[in-house]
Amino acid sequence: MSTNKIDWSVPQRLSPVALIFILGKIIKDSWPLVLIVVGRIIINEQNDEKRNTSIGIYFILGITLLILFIHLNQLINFFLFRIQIKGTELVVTGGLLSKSKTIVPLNRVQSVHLIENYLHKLTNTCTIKIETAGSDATEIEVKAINKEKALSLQSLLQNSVTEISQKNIPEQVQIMGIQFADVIKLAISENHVRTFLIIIAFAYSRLEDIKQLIGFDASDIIDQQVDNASFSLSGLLTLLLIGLIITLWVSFIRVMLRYHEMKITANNKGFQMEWVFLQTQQKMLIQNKVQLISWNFNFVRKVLGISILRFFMMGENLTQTKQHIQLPVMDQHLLYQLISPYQAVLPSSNTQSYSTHISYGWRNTLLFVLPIILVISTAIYFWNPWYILFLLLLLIYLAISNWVKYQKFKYWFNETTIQIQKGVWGVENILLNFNKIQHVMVKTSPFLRRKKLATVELHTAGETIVIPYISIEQAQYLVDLSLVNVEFH
Amino acid sequence: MKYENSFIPHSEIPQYAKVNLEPIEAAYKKVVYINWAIVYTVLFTVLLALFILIKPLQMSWLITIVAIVFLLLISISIASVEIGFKNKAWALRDKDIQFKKGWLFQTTHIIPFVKVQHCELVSSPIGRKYGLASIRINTAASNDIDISIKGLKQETAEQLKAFIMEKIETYEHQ
Repeated sequence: MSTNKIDWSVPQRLSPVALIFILGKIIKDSWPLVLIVVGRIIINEQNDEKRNTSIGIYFILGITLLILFIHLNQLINFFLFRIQIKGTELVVTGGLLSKSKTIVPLNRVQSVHLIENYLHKLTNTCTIKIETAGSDATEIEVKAINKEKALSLQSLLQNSVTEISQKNIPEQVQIMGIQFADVIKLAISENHVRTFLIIIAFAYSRLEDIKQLIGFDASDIIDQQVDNASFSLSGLLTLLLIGLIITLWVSFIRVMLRYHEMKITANNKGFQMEWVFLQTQQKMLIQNKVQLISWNFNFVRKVLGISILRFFMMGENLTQTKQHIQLPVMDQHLLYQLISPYQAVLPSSNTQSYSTHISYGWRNTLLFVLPIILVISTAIYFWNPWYILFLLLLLIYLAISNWVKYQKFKYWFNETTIQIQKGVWGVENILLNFNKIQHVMVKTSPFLRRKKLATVELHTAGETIVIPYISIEQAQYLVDLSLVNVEFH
Repeated sequence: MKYENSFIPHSEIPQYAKVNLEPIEAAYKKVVYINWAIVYTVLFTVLLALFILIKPLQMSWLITIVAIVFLLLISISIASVEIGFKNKAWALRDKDIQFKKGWLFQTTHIIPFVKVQHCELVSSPIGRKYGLASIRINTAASNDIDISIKGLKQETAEQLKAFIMEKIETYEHQ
């Protein structure tokens, strides 16, 4: 596919397919309200109640109309949207009543993601999301654009502006692919406790929606059934087994959605990741935009030799997990191959390791966990004294977790890079080149000052790295070394 | 490929801890007290209105507890201003700026100029009355963090802002 047929100096429009997505979004935003209104009307008719539409229904209808009116702006914007490259800037214009013009210098683009769902594939279009430095959210999103145009734009941005000839297209080499067997391994090694909690939270939230829709509380029915049920050991085991099977299935589906047929190709500019399940996504990772890298594994993943590698990019929103560049790595050699463009030599391989002060292991338990549990225990005591046992178990769990966290926290550093290893039930490694630091903080408290300790925070545009409870001399040295890297290199 | 990992002695690199920090203007203490006075006056008014208008709240033990908590908050605020004020200081180096603040929990910020994206001068009505202003510094990592030096003289703040903006331009052209 030729990428230099499209003249990006000429403003490009959205594909007509974008109209379908806008209509889809309108329906998606409005359907719960419409469903509630329709449901209420039907139930009122079935209950032979007086046929006067409640004020509530009028209110909901009003909100629905407001949503439609708000989306009218998006419909208008479809016709006025233009995207082009003017010199060294990407320019996006649109809007009727409030005209918008977004100008992004091409050298501030940090990543370009392409997303295709089934409709995109049928119509040879895709969505582009362009992220730039200094912003929490996706800077520019183009809902549906011709796929050739999208690939051309992605290639142009990756090569920083200039038009490329066929000779200059960087050679792409595939370095990783996830097969079905790998997906199974990832699903087995997933954090099932977290998945189980997600299922519980999701189920509870749906109970609330059902209550709003049909007018009575489904959780009361469930409570009634639970009270009537007679619990036996076999019954409990059956329940646990069903819960485990559901959890494993949900874990499997989540892993499939995230990693199915994931491929990574490398060129001299960076990596390109692509994965497919319900939709195809492509993410471009430009090396010089990477702020820091982390890789983690739990006990099962360690046995299977799997790590989850995460690249922290400039301007990333930590709460928007869909923006994160996170990939499973199935062997150690590949892990170092992916890390090496950022930092070729890990400090842990040739420098001394350091730990935090022993008080880090018990202080949080003593100052926060214990008082809170004591307060709650006092309240619970008057309700049901036996429930205090659960709180005691929680206290023991948290105390052990904090102690394990202290035991596992280690760091190494050389003249350019710091590596931190931490974790409780798993292990996470974080690698940070000092020249990526934006600013530094040194924090002390009365206790830390008495013990001649300090906590160092290294702030990057991707995430903040905290090194707690280290000697004040070490803290000062780390800070000075990181500043030398930022200011003199 | 040969990798080197030479040790850099601490004595050979600039040390931020050895820099003499300059305290902020003494007049800023008055600004802080006035701000707190406004906050507590509003809070007192709200509490008074609640106790007068809502009869179930008119219990002597509740009023006593609220009064004690209120006085405690005022005492803590006064202590934090008096003790914390002397910790507020700043220093300018050729390549970065640092400032320190805090009472019980002290924080030292160091921001290299090469990472500063924007710098703005901020002054409140009460600060302007005393000829004071603040500098707020933005980096790519400062979204949730307040990086500002408060309690500077207006002229000092303006000079500092101009200096920082000049540094930003110098680094942008490099």
